[in-house]
Amino acid sequence: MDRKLLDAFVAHHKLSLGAITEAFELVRARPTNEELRHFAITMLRLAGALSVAAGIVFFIAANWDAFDVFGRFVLVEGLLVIASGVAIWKPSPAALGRFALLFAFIMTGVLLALFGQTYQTGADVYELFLTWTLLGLPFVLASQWSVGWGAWLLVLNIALSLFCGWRPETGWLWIVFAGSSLSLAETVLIAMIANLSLWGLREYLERTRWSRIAPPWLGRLAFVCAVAFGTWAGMLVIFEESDAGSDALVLMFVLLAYAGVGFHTIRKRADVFPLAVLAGSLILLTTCALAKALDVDDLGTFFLLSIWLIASSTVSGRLLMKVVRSWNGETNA
Amino acid sequence: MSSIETLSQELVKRGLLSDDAVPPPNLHKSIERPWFVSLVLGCAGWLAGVFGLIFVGLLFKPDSALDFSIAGLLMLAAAYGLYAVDRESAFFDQLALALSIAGQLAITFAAWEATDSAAGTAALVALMQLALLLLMPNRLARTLATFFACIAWVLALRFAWWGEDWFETHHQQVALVPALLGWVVIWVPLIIVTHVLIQSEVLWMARRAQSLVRPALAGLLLSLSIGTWASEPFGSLQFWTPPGETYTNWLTLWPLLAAATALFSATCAFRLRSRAMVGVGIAGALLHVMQFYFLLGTTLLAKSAIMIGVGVLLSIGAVVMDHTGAAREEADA
Repeated sequence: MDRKLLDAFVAHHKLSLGAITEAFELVRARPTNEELRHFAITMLRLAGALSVAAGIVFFIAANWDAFDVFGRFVLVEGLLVIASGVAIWKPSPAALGRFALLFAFIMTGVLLALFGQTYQTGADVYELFLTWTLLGLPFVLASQWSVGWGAWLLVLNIALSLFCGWRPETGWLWIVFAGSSLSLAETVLIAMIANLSLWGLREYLERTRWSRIAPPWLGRLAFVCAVAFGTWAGMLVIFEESDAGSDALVLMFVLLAYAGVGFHTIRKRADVFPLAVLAGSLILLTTCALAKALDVDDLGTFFLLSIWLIASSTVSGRLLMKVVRSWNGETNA
Repeated sequence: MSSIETLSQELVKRGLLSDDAVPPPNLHKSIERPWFVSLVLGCAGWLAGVFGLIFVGLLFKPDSALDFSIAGLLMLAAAYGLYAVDRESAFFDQLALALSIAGQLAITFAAWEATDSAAGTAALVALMQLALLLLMPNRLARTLATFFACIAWVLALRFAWWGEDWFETHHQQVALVPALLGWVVIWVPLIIVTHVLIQSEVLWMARRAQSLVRPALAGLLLSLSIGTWASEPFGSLQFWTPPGETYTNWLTLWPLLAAATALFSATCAFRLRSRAMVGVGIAGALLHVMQFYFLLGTTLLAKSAIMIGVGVLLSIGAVVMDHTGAAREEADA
């Protein structure tokens, strides 16, 4: 039972000390000594393993200059091979295999960074992350583990953020878009579409036998990334003075995408999270639009923006809570 | 049948609740907003608070500590009034949060103007936050007040003990015993308070103190998990040593101690059956290990040895605890 619910129950009935103690026992409000011991042992084991692993990383970093080029590559590639070997010996869904594959995915990135640092290829930073995403994909696929997919998603979005943020106009991804002379807003929109597609894929996988490797939190992560890019694109359109009609189309597409997701979420009636994220994005975009459009002095601007923020977030909060209670009521019925 | 109804029936059977007891009305309202709704609304509240503060600044143009204090107190009083008038309205919650944040920022600035000392300012802010914890009739406001009070307490002692001039302290040589003692003086009282509150949970619930202590406990757990970053603010921001300089500063151990504190917080959260706070504790611990890597004050090799040593000790601890528990189970059987 939720602690806040228990608080409300105890306060309403003005339960005595004895009654509260009994209530705690009935709802198992506290873990047993055995549960606590198991938790402590798990934490100690995890902390111990991670501490030793961190110590090894620190040791390698401390002696990095002492390694020659060949030694560095042997070290990193050796770890990658060992991790792969462990994954073959104890394949997923065994926990050891999954952790080994996650480690192999991370070592792929380390190897690429080492390669770029050693040979000064001139590649842009985004290319490192994008190549990491592609080369690490087999490990993530083999892990059949949502945590692996989460790490992969983070690396992909770092690559997209760097590509959009720095606009390097070099590298193989830029070649794909070079002929289109895309504006920054359009480029960011593509990043949003990529994440939205992944979110949609997760929504589909939820109804298949792959649902266990695509839990809701993974979909939420992809969705947050999509909306972050969508908000970025919207803010670019609002603040950048451009006569390009394409930028207005970008904003329209963002809003249409939001409407589509909102419609799907309301029809599904399962998770309010997408609606909350959309509300946050819309509050930010409308605030930006208001700040740009207001033709008053600073005093009036800040006053009106404060009022707008309070009003819009309050309306959003009321609507969201209404939806939460309505959908919770349907679930409990 | 809901868990509340089941609990009620069991307590009636045990004679701890009268069988004509009326269930709490509008029980769904005691269900707090989902964390992501609170996050969206909270961010909007923060932004509105900053805009509100700028508006007040432009309107009244306060230029002395007294002016800022009066403006801050008026805004805090308004926030209190809004919280007190309607405790369940999202609109008033948001407006009150914005005013409260703006008022706190104004008073913090007034404290800085009056004391011209980071330690003094932090100490006054800690007192202000304690007052807000006691007075503000809102759960989120109390949690935030507790969190900020802990941060302010930490900063006050840190600045008072080892100075607040960044250019001097970043080359300070702090010996091991003062570093350890300083951490104990700063964090152990908060750890003890947290432990005592959890141990005495049934007692303060029986005294109807849930509305004060529950949010305070959440604030304490948050502080122990991530507030520990504030312990060494200068070290957290520096990543280099000027060439040719070497120095030993055992404040570099604080992130490791903070990681242990974060794991303690995770254990406390487990005792309260709060999965979210367990996650926050674990994430805090991992962040502190990263901080330890970057913090200057000793060599990477020494840090490596410390991490491996700590890891081995933790793993031994896990084995001992496991065997002790197994032996006890065998003896009981």
